[in-house]
Amino acid sequence: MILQSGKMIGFLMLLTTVSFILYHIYRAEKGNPANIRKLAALEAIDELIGRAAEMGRPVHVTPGASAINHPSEAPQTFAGISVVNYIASSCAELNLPIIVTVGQAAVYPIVEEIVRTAYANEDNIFEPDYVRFIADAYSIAVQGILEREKPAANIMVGGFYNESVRFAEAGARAGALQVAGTARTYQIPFFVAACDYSLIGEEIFVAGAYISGDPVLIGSIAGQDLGKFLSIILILINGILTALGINWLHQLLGR
Amino acid sequence: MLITAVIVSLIVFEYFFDVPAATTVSENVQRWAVVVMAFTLGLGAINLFQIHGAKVLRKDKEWYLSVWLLFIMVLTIVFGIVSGPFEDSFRFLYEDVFMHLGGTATALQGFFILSAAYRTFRARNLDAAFLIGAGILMCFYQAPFGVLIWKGFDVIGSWLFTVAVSSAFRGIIIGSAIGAMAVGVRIVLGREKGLAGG
Repeated sequence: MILQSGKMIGFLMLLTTVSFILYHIYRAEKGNPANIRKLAALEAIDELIGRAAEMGRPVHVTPGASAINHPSEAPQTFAGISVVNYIASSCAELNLPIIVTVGQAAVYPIVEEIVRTAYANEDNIFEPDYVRFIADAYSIAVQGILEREKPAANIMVGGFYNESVRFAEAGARAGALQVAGTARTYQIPFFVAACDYSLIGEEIFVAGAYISGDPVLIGSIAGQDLGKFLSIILILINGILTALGINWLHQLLGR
Repeated sequence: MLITAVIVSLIVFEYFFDVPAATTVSENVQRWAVVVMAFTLGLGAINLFQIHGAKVLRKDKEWYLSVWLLFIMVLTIVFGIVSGPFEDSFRFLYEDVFMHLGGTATALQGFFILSAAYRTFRARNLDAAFLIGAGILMCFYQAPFGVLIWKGFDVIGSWLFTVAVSSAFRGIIIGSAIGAMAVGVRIVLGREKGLAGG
């Protein structure tokens, strides 16, 4: 077995971070759950759903337009699907209509099954209209849905392109309270500026674990944070050494 | 979940290790994935027929728009199958109609950004005041006449863009990469219940 050139450190970081995550999952299973700080955006989701129930208006949720086969975009879509699962379960419990808009064909069967199962579990009727596959016209179609159907809550978690600001504005004009999050760096400022609550970057990847409340999944968040701390320490040490003209760590990290 | 774990482990192994057999298997698996995703397009089309067909049959509000959508969809499918995606008839529908409509929608972007800025940029606290200040500086930096008013806008804007913004973006990218790793671990272990429903 030959490790490919330039990937040794990446492989070691992967092993280390995965070890941290597995360790914290193990600790949580043994009854030692991790404590993590509250995320206002995720705490607000229940409030948004309750508001929609009181107003008798639907909840709109979308996992974004990112592809499921792209290595940097698929994790964002999976994060969005986890949020869709939780929101579908909550809406099904309250027999509240949900509108899930999907921009990628490969995501549609997954989301459709999740929402159908959620409503079936509560013995409520699943309408085919609840999950809408919108192909290339995704951005303008979602704007139209927000403007016409006026949901009380608009939750957008996943990978978004330039449609982010149009969705946020259309949701605001419709009077919806909005929670949005993406890891696409150029879209984050639009969500932060235009939405009531926002999730920045990595916060979307903890959404599914956080809102489930499962201590084992929350343990994985703590493990992920340890991996981040390791990265920060390496960056700081490398920065200081490089500024002093000592380059061995920089060369080692490039291997 | 077992299938997911095996496939993910194979793809990750192939990425890091130079083993010809693993590369061959990984490439085949990725080709199968493309084929499976092509079938999901058909499922999506069926969903569109279901939703809009039901709207037409029930004569819901603006049902005529659903008729138009179904007509264009069928027309595009027929042209694509009969004449192929590279013929003039299909390309007219896609390049001369659809892409221009998409461009029109994207052109609304500027107005939405202005609307969001007007609605959001209130100096309610120190953080908001910094946000507005940075936004104004960047506007002058990006606009061609900004440098004509004061050369300092170019210096400050350039520093903000290349140092402050880049470092923040890189921090977010590193955090997101590790977060994506965690999602992958949860999926492989079968713990990411959100994807399986329930």
